[in-house]
Amino acid sequence: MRWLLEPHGDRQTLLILVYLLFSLPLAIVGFVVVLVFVAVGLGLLITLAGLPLLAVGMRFAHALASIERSLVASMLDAPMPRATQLSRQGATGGFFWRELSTRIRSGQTWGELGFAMLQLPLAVLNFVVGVGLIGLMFGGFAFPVLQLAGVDSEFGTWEIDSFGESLIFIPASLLFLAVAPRLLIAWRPIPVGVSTLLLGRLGWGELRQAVGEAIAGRGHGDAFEILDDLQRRYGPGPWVSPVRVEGALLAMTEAGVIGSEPSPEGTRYLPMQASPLAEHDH
Amino acid sequence: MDEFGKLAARESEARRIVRRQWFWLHAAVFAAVQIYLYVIWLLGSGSHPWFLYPLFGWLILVAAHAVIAFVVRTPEEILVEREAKQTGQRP
Repeated sequence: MRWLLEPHGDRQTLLILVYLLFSLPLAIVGFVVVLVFVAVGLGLLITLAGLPLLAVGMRFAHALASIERSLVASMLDAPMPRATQLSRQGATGGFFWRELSTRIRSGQTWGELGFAMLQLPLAVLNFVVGVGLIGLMFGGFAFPVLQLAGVDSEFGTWEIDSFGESLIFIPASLLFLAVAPRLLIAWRPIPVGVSTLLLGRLGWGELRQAVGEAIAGRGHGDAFEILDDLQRRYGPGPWVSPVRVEGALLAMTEAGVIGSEPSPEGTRYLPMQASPLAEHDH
Repeated sequence: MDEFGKLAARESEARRIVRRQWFWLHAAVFAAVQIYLYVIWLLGSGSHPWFLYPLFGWLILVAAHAVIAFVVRTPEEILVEREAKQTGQRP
């Protein structure tokens, strides 16, 4: 019983309900704008006039994703990386082309576009759950109130025309008043899972750039220290787990972007300019 | 392979196990629902085999999930597992 009633006074429960109700308007705006820009942009791609439209669509999807990231992190307590920046490595040309090619090559952009498309059906589902629960919690009390006001109600083919009849749904509403917070908490992993899957990511290029910056900032460091730096920068979560950091370090060492020095305490990584390999090369 | 490498290899292995567990759960739900639909069809008129439509539609998703669970690996997992094999550490 205590387990059931515990979330009633919890602020988190209310925040989940607010999120379920208010994610729909944001999703409608996002879906319409992103779909229009991306569809028209792709349609006009052959004339090159589609390129700026595509860029605007991607920018908008990114802005929308940033809002969603902050919403799910603050309202649903979801793990979400703090501000990520796209890797501009390998991007050449003028500002516009560099911006567009950076976005097209980033997995983050495709995740954000996918989220803009998926957000609407998910938000509709969220809204239905939120409104449905509110209706079930308080609907039963509406019948006696209406009856006291002298208004007969209908429930399907059944006409409720006496005060005694109007009380029949109160037990169901009391039951839902008791269990609704738990149902909300049980629903939470669905929007959290979709948002984390599509938005809670740090692309492979962005990760390597961040690892490079962490090593450059330290001068040298072992993998545990680099992981600490990245977790401080992006927040702890699956986007900077040991396998991701180790993978990035191995790839960068192989590519010669960073140097490594084995030591009894563990491999130390250093920027290429400071590495013995670089000195040997020169 | 240092301590961090071993930690990464263990995480990579754990990720693979979780992916496969999700796939088997998905496959079990798929099988249960399809048997249920087949029984409904059998108990009904039994004329047009409508249960085949959800079966084949969902089968495409199950197949895609199987590819993700058993074939697809992220670049970092490939690198970490290769390193573990080279250094003789079973991930």
